[in-house]
This record gives sequence, structure tokens and C-alpha cells, in this order.
Amino acid sequence: MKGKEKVNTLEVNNLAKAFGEVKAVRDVTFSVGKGEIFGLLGPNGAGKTTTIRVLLDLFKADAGDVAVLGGPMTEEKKQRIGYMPEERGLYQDIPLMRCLVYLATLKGLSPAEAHRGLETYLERFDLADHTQKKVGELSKGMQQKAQIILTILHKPELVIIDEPFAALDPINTRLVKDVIRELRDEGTTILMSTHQMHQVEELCDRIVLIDEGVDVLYGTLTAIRERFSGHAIVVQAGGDLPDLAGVLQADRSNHEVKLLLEEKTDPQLVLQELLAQGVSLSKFEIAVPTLDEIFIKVVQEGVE
Amino acid sequence: MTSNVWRIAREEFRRNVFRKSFILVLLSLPLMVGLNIGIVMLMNYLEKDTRPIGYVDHAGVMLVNILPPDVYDEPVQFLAFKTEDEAEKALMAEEIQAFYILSPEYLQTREIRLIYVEEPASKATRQFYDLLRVNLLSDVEPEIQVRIADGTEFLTRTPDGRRSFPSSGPTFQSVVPFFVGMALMMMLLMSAGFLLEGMVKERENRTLEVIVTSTSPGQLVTGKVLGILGISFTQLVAWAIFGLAAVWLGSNTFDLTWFQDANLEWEPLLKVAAIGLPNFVMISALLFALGCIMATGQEAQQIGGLSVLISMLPLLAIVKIGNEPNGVLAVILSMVPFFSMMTVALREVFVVVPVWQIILSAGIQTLFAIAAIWLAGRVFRLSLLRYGKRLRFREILTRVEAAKTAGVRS
Repeated sequence: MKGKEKVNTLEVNNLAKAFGEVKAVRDVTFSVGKGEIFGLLGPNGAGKTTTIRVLLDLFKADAGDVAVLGGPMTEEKKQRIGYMPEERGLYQDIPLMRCLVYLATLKGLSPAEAHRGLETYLERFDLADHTQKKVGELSKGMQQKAQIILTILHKPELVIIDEPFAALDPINTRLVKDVIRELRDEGTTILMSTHQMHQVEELCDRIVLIDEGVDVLYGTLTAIRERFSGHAIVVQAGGDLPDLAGVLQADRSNHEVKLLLEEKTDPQLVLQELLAQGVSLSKFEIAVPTLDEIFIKVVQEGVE
Repeated sequence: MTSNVWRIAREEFRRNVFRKSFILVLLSLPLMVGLNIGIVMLMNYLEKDTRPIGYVDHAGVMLVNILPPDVYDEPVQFLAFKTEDEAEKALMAEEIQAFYILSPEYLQTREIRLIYVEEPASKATRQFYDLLRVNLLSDVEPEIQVRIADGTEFLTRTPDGRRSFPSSGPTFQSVVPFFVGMALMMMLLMSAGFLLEGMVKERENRTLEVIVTSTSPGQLVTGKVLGILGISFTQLVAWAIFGLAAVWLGSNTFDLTWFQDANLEWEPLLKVAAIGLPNFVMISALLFALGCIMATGQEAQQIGGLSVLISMLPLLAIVKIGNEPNGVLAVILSMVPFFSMMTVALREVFVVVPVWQIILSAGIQTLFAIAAIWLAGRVFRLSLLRYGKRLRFREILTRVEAAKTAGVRS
């Protein structure tokens, strides 16, 4: 079994779920540890949302095991989980405050507790002046912030958020990232599904990449990057570089050159050759691929 | 956890009741009834003419021109003229409404002519003929004259004597169960609209997804049905207040004898309620299921309205049920879900429906209500989060096993 050797908040083993002829999830396995920010990645239609809905007991798995907060999902556990769906779910025709208080009370808060908690969060998310407006009158970004508040208001142990940054401007994106980090620091486990790879790189400790219902990449970001590095190097040198054996392509940008190597070329041999040819190097490093590049490589080229 | 049921019910109630469209719907029925009554009263008022009716008696039969007292609430005054010219002058001077001319051969030919500028009110002509009858019977005793002026009186009575109908028409208390049945149906029709609209909206704006990750489907279904019952009860109370106000006004302000005799009999109402309540729950649960199946609010509204109209079908058999209120058809329809409440309401107008039939029917309706809630839970689970896609009936039947595995916890 993949995963960390500790008590996990989420355990998914060989999960499968089909809708008629369509196999939405075929074989997905991952685990999420307590206090971890975990990225659930994949192209559109890969099976991410179905996986989340099985975790939340909205769908029953056809095969495989799912354990949430140490066991099967129960009604009691629903109160310990915060969930923000990708397509937001707020009543559009009632005032914001009433909507949030009602949905928060379904999560076990008393109306007074909900009001108290909301005052702080609404102020922080710059929504305090809009509490009496109908939800439908608010911008998409405001509604998303309101949904984020609702997701975390009852201080859940596990937060599952689907595309948390989709409608947010850079300032609010930073605000939400800060909140996510704070939650992690307080010991909350966060499962985040998103297409924004740079956000994943900034926030997530570990990821799982699902493609066509199967987990194709799983582990820490560092380990995954290392796994996909080694075929390119970045060099900064005084003067032009000589022709080098085993180099497929040289891409120049600013003062650096990125050398794409053949599969069999060892970067150490390239370094030795450069030094042997008397090139004055001010920088030589293994090019670490971005998560975007890894994503494309895995999903489009099928490289694992 | 149980408190979530009440929170959902309360929010459902609050979101629907405290909005303009509900107030409009709530007032629409009494306003419609009030408007109709108002139009009738206005027409009566406009028709009201207190001027006398004249007559020229060439036959010499009109010896008295006053009707016996206490026969009419508003007796018409009669004025005898010696000649047709005199009568015509009075008519043209608008001193009389119209005048009758009895030909010299009246006793042989029964020929009477009515001369008018504007046709007189029906009560005036009716009273003239009563006066004529009294005069023709002048040689008999006054009591017999009064009785004849009263006309024919048939009192239809059931063998047990618990229902009777004067020939002037049913009394207020005998038609109350029917009106209550109709009101319940109207209520259901309106509540169905709110329920379906709310369900489809929650699916469309994904609120349902947030709610079911906070509470169980069982709690959600129960909360919704309780909320709808609350909305309907509010309607019922409001309409009952309007009804009582109408009875009070009719009785005290307008002196309508129909309302003055308004003694409410509780037994028929309790019978209709005993069958109506489980029927109401059954139809609400089925409508909830419908809300899960339908892809759009418009579709749900159309089919929801249709399903409630099915409940009104016994009205098509009103003549048959009226003729044979204890007949085979009436008894069978009293047992069939959807039709039972209206059928019993109709039958109670004519007869006292036996208690055993009410108990049997209420039992059948309760079983169907439980089955409907079960089905609604299954359909909800199967259709959950199938945005924009309609759940086919075949799937509901074929996937019952899968639904059993999934279960609906409460």
C-alpha cells in the first residue's frame, strides 16, 4: 500500500466507480495524513470529483475501500468535514448571512456560534458589508469566498475543497492560501482538487494525479520532481557553449541555456565535458520540471 | 442530528412562506371566492327594484293585493289599475316596475300579458304569480293559501335520518366536507409547486450537494415533507379564517339564511382529514421523488400539477356518486389512493360514510404513504447529483437492489 506510515485521515484503496457503461474511477489508491495539504490532480473527466463524492458517501464505491477519519463514513463524521464543491452551492434568493447561518447550523453549530464565527471571517474576507444582500446579487468571487467561509466555519478536521481559487483575484487567492496554511498549521487535513499547478506547487505536501480513472502519479512533490528531472540541465557560462555530445537541444533564455539531454546522457558527463573544454561556468544545475510540465508529460505523453 | 430535521423543515417553511408569491397564492383563493360573491351581490343590488308591480284585472279574480306575511323576506308591493292606460302612464312615469294584464277570458285561457320598459326582477314576477294563486284560492282557508304560496317542498332524507336536503338546495353544513376536500386539493396543488420548485433549484444551484454532506438523505426528506406540511397548514389556517369571516359576514351583515344555519359538524371533517392526511403525505413524497427525477423546474411544475389534478378526477363521477353514494364505484374509489379523499368528501355530502370504510381507507392510504416515502428515499439516492440528467423510470425499478445497498440512513 502506498502512503505514509502513520494514522491517516483519508485512506483510499483500489477505488472503482462506474455509472452504467462509463467507468468514472477504475483504480485509485492514495492516503492523506493528518495535518497535510494534499493535491488531487487530473485532467477534466479524470475521476477527481467522483472520487471526492465517494469519500463523502454521496456515491457508493463499486469496488475498493474508503476510510475517512479512521473508518467508514458516518453521519457523525459529516460534522467533522468541511466540503466545498466545485460548482458552488448556496441559496441564491436569500440574504448571505441567513444562508450561511442556516448551512452552518446543519454542520452542528448553534446559531449564536455561527454568528460569532461569521463576524470574524466575513470581516477578514471583506464581506462584512454584504451580509444582508441576497447571495445571487454577489459577484462570483464573493460567493466563492462565502463558500470557503462556510467550509471552514465549524472548524472541521478534514477540509475537502474543489477548485478553491477558480474565481478569485490575486489578492483573494493569497488570502485563501494563507487561510489554508493556517488550517494546516492548526492540524487540519486538507484535500485540494485543482487545475492550477502553481498553487499546488506552493501549497501541497503530496499529490496524486489521476488520469482516466487511474492514479498515475503519487507521492511528495520533491520525489515526483526528482523522478522527472535528469533530462535537462541549466547552464550559465561566460561565452558561447561548444557542441556537446548527447545534447538534443539548447534553449537560450536571458543569460542561461537549457540543454535537453538524450535519455541515455548522464548530466555528470556533460559537466565533465564542459570543464574539459575550459568553459567558465557560473551555474550548472539539473533542471527541475514544473508540475505543469510533469502533468502534461504524464497525461499527454503517458509517461509514468 | 434530529435537530437538522427541524432546521430543514423550518428553513423550507421560512423560504416559501415569507415571500410575495406565497402571500399572493394564499390570498388568491379567498380573493377569487370573494370576487365571485361580490359580483353576485352587485348584480343582485343592481337588479333590486323596490317600486310596485301593477296589474289590470279584466278577469275580476284579484280580490286581494297583499301576500300573506312572512312568506318573503322582501315582499313586493302590488298596485291595481282600472285601465291599461292608467297603468301605462304609471309605468312611463317610472312609478311601477311593470304591469300585468289579465284578459277577461283569463279563467278559460290563462292569458296574462306583462308590460315593461326594463324586465322586472325574477322575484317580482314570482311573487305576482304567488299573489295570483292566493287570489284564485280565496275561497279556501288562509293557512292553505300560505302553504300553496310556499310551493312544493320536498325533503330528501337518508334512511338513518342523518342527512337531509330541502328542495331549496343543500345546507351549509352538508357541503362543508366537500369544500374542505376541495381546499385540501388546492392546498396540495400549491404546496406541490413550492416543493418541486425548491427541489429543482437546490439541485440546479448545487445547494443539495452541500446539504447532503451535512445531513442524511432521510433527514432531508423528512425535513422537506414537514416543511411542506407546515406551509400547507398555514394555508389551511389562513383559509379557515377567511371562511369563518365569510360565514360571519354572510350571517350578521348580509343576513344570509344559508350562513345563519351554519352549524359545523365535526364528524365528516374528521373523516376527510383521516383520509386526507396520509394522502397528502403520499402525494408530497411522490412529488419529492418527481423533483429528484425531473431535470428542470418547468418539467417538474408541469408534471406536479398533472399529478394533483388526478386527485380531482372523482369530480367527473359526481353525478354517479351523488346518485349512488354507497354504490360499488363510490366505495371502491373511497379506497383508491389519490381518489379516496375527494370521493369521501363528496359522499359525505349525501350520506354518512360507514366508519369501517373510513378506517379501511385510512389504513390503505397510510400504507401507500409509507411506500411513497420509501420510494422517494430510493429515488433521491439514485438521482443524487445527476445534474441535468433525468432519471428514467426503468432505472428506478432496475436499480432498487443497488439502492438497497446504498441505503438511506436517517
